[in-house]
Amino acid sequence: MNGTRLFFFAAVLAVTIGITIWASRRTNTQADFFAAGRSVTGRQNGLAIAGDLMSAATFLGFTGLIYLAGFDGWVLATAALFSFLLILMLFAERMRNAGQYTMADVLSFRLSKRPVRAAAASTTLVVVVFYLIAQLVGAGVLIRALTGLDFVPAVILTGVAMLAYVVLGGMLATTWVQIVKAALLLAVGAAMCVAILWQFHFNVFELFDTAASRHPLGEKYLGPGGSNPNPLNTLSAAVAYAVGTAALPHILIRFFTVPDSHAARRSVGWAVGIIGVFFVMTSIIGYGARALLPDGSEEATAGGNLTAPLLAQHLGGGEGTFGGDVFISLVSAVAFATILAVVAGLLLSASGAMSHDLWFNVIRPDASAEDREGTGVARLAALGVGVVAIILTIMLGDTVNVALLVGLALSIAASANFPALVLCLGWRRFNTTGAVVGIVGGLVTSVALIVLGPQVWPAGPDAAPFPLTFPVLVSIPAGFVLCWLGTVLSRRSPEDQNTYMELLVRSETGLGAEEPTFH
Amino acid sequence: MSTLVEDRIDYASVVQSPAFQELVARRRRFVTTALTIAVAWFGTFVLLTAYAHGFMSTILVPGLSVAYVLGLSQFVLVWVLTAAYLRASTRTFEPLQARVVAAARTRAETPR
Repeated sequence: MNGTRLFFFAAVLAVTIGITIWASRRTNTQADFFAAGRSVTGRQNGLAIAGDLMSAATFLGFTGLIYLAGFDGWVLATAALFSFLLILMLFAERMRNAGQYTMADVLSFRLSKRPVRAAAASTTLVVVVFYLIAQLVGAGVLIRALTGLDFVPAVILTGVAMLAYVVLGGMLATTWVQIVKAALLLAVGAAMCVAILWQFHFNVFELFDTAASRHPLGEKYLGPGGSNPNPLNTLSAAVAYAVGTAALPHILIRFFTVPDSHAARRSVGWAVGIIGVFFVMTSIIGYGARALLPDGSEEATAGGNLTAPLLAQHLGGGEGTFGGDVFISLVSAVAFATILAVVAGLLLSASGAMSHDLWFNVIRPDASAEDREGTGVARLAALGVGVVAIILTIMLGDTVNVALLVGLALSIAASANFPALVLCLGWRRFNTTGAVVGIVGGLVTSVALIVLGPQVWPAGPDAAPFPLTFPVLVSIPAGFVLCWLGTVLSRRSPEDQNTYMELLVRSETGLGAEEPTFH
Repeated sequence: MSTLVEDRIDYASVVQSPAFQELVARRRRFVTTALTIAVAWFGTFVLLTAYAHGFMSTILVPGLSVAYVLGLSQFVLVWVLTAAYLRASTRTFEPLQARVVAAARTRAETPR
């Protein structure tokens, strides 16, 4: 690894470890560990949520996709932004008011606690572990390409840093690492955009026109269809991002870190502003790469993922120049920080499902108050899930399809979590059987259709019995129908009805919601 | 102390109270309207992206396609609806929430 790159990567590690040490001194109770003492402000939380969405997949993946295929890369960005309307109007405040640490809290508030919690915690773990492995594989491949470090040590380095943030610093460290990274990524993205637009007299249309003239598709490059000839695939990918993002556990748990529902709402306001600006930047960087990088650079971008770093090198003066070296090192280090921050948030949400949901509420509901207040089990759960995810990543290796894992995670979140959450907060008759049948059924349907689909089916994509990569067009309706069938076909439980009144009042008004703790 | 009061709240009667009914009705009306508009506009955009490649690739001025304009309009849609919701919350929903909570607390504190 060259000196400049080593310096920037080390700086990222030093700053984040510093934050972790500071946060670890303030993390004493479960409310600290899982919810940062509910003391994060709306603006800080908005930046952190934006950071969760500005992952390696969106910064490197979307810019690469736009560089290679044009507009198709941007459709997913608009879908991900759209999902925040669902989060804001359906979940954000009501989650904050009704929940404690996890999504399962909200479901088990009015439904029979143990079965619903076990089902919801299981889908959370499945979603998070797939997403986590996807990010860790991406980290290994990326760090190898950027620094020359091998895949396995790169995954271990990322994994150990992730474990340090979460196990030692809990949600406070996870949030601040995310905030610092979000600010860094916005600054570096803005610097790249200015450097790109400067070459086109700050005229965006001139930039796009030049990009189109340098792509084999010509003007069609500025329209859709460059990567994906099957319209149903485009539709299902957009629906998976629009609905699945809204039910991702690591994004929803961020609403537990703010003091009240007012701050929960404000954080969505900040998040959509920041994410929108960031996605506009990705279009400028993606099209900018097409307009500025020399012909035939596709090979060097390694499937598109190294488009942004290569463009930074080009903008800084090219390969071998001091400016080029500094700029590519800076962008690479920020990409590294992005992965670190996102995997930490994922691990924290998995730890909540493992310790708060499964251990304290399903396996050991009689645990002492002292155990419940402490953070021992939570830290142990984070360590356990983290180590398992690292080992799985190394076993799967660098050939596993990252997009497939992300698609799987989004599809399961959309099909298993989303219907149950919506119905639990809004349908009076919804009951325990309906929730369990819907959650398990949504999970099974989406996994089965992915296995039968073109990405996994052993006989090859053309022979696959199910034609779509993302099963959501079938599996989301299936999730809703199964929730409904399970409810209407089972016995009415008066208990579920009584707690619905309490959930309704609490989620709509905040009466009785978890109070913030201050240090 | 506060938890004791909350344990004595009769949630069914809170749900029946006019302020709560108004809160839920108004919020539901706002959310239904906003999400209908959003789903319609976003749905149109995604359907056009999937099925109308030719129309979406139309160039309005050199460098600017219909697709990019409609894509940006999704951003504007999300920003405008978010801002509208935040405004309605501060002006309408929060005062109603405060009324419901205050009334519920008073009722629970009054010895029956």
